[in-house]
Amino acid sequence: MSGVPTFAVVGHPNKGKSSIVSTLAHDDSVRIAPEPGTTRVCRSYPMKVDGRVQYVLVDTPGFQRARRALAWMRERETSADLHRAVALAFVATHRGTGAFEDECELLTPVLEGAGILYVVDGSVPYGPEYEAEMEILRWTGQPSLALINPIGEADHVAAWRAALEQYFKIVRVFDALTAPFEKRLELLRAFGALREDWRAPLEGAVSALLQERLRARDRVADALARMLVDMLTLSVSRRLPEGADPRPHQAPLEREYEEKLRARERAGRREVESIYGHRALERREREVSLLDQDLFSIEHWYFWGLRRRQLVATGAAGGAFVGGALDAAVGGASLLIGSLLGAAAGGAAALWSSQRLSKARVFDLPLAGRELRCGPTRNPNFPWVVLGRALHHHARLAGRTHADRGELTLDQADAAPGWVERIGRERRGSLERCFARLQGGDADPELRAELAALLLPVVQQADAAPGLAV
Amino acid sequence: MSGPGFARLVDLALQLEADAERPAAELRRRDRGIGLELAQAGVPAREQVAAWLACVRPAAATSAGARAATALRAAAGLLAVFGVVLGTGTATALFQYDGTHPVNVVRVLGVFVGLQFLLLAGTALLCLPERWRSRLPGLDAVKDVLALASPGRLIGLLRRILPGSQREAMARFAGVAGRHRRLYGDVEKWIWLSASQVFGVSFHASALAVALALIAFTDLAFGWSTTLQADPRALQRMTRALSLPWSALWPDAVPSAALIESTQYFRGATGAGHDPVHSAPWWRFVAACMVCYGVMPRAALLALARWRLAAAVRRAFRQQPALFALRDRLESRCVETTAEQAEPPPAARAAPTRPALAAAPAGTRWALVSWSGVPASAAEALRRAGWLATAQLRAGEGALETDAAAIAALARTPRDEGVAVLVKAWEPPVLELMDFLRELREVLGEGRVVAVVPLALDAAGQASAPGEASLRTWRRALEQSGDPWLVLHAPELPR
Repeated sequence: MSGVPTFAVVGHPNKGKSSIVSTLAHDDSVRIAPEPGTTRVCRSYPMKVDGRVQYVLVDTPGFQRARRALAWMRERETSADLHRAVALAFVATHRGTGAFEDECELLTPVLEGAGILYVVDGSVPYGPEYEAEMEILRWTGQPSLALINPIGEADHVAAWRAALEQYFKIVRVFDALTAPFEKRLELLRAFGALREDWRAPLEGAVSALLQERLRARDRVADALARMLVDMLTLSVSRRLPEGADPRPHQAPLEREYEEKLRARERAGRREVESIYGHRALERREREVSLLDQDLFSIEHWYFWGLRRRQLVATGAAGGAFVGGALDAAVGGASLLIGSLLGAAAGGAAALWSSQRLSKARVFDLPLAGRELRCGPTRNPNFPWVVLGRALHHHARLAGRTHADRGELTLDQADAAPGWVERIGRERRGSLERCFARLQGGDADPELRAELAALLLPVVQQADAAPGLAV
Repeated sequence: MSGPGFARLVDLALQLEADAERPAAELRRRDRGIGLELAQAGVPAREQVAAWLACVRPAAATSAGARAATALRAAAGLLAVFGVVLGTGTATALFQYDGTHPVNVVRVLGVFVGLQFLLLAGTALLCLPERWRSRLPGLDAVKDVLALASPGRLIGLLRRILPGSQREAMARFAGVAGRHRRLYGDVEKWIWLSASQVFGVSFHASALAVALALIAFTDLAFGWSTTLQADPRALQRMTRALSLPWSALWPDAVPSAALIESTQYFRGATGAGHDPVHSAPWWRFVAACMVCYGVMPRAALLALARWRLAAAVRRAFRQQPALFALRDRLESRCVETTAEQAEPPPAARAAPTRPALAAAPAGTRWALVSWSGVPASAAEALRRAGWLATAQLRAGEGALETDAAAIAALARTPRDEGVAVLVKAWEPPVLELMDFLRELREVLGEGRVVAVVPLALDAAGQASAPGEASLRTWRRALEQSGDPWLVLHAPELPR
């Protein structure tokens, strides 16, 4: 183990060892199954910062013949100082023989110096059959900590705690499925408390994970900005021969436009999922119910985006901003008429154009016939709908552990409504102006960076919701 | 036409696009390693990306960017040759004098001044930034027409005669530029405009050279003739206006009223206009026009286009959407938490045993064994549910001798009795239990029913029927045992 803090996650089969490893290692490739014996060999999860290993988690198979193993050891027991030697002899004697295969596999990292993280299920009653396992672990002489992982709904934590405290100095309750980020960091700090020389590397690891989480928000803001720029500037076109009737081409082109928008949104989702290390979710994306009611369920638009009244207000604010610039240009001689007219025009335009996404239109091209073009959409609510959905997806993802293998459900019923409503009025106005420039065909690539900067606090707010107090 | 900046931009664009296909973890490791090296070498932040590119694409001399830049230079060279050929031909045609008709100054001005004004005005419109152009109604149509007439378009055609490697590099960049029009639109525009100006400069310079050669080495007679406006005073006003830029510096190059009046000619007529000596002063004006309205504006536009191209290349380099992620990978610590090796495939499951019994026969009497601390109340619950229990033993807890004693006791029970092993439904079937069941079978012999009875506990701690998921787990484990007389028995208890 070469001095690197190593922690072997051990316990009875099917008590959530792999779930704990999956959550702590942010790795959704860990196999988690209801059948016992899914983990047959140890698997290491080194936590590295710039290539330097800070600590290693080892997922192990569960005890299968703990009483028999303990009986073998007791037969050879002489005194407590030789317990560790007997445990080593047990592994040396039985490794490769087929007997005690799981016990040899799980004891090997422990006897090589790993700290013990003993996992039990706090939702089932305590049973004396666990005592053989705990006794064997005590014989190894390694620093240890017990984790009560309540897998089900029933609460037997108190009984477990009473039993575990007789064997372990530190006993923690840790729900691998729902543990928020700061709870995971707390647990890592507790690992550091097992041995004095493990404290510093674990503290370093916690600090690196915290920084990484903060950087993830920057990455998400950038990803959302790129997605919004692409979606708000997307257009599809088809050249038509001179004199051709555009009507048969109109509906297919509109469908193509919508499909491209959907594809871009899906790609954005995948990117945000990969920022949080949810790679397996990607493979199951077709099953994700978010896509059942997708971007074009217009009846849901006011849920995800701005409500009609807010749209008018935001449009009016944008119009007033432009009108105000005119007023300022004439030194106030216009008696704020520019602002008033701008606000009225902006509000009316927002109301009028909020009903439809984009319609295919025909353009005459000099010397080149005609072109049927769909997009970019001028609908003022569209960017808010896209943003609202993306923020909700991000919030759900940020609060999700890697042990959670259920469907990522993003339907309206469980959505916290009004993600975009929570954005402060001033920032909403700035975003609105950014969206308007993009929808107006402004090709300035600097807009993306501007949008990302505006979105960052919004993303931070969405990530704070599941309980990240940083 | 294109310097190292363009080559670097192409390399960056292609590298970022290739990176988009690679695993994120691999990129993070690679780029963080480079980032640390660059930080150690003290590379300033503004040069970081270029230095990174040099690291990931060490063979810069043969890179796709270098080949694309060479291809552009070669295409520009071919355009220059095309311009020289066309300029020479045009000048030879316009300055042709065989002694019958003089060189028509109006025609020369039409080609080298009038047409140039129109093209320069169009080019100036194209040079406007996109956001201004989009606000001028009808400008898109003008742009499309000019684009059709632009010699820069020939780059696409000339590309086809370039060597394969250069052609491929250009095609790859064109593909990237096509997919990211917002980013590379300006670069493409200024490449076109630069190429057009290369053509323009070579066209005008070669035309001027041919004109001067013909003036120097042949006897040309100049005159003017037009059906539109035959009044010499109008031509004089025009020539005076055109001469304004050089009239103070070179007064001899401003045609006098007398010269204009005396050199007007009409087709089929003969007169002074045919006299090379008399009409010679026209050449200065013609040459000055060709320099001032042909060569100089094109040279200036070429300089402007190259300057703007360099700026557009720098901007596109700076504004790559993937640069944020790249800088992030270079500057942020690379934190890895996942397993290095892939999860091994699940262990192969043995073929399930074909059970000899679907369930224990009705009316069976049972010897009960409470495995691993199943509470005694569980056996009571079974009795209340109508089970005929003859004995109650314990196993799976405490010393191993308990198990041996239970097996010995069970061996003594009548052969028509079944053995029911009560287990905790919420616990998984561990190998220790399977060992016990195997040893029990060895003692009991074939044909005797052994039932495993998983029991759950209700909120009051009383035995209850287990859930389907638990039963499924237990059933699967028993199917793997190879014992056809081993059955799973789910008691009818309240849930």
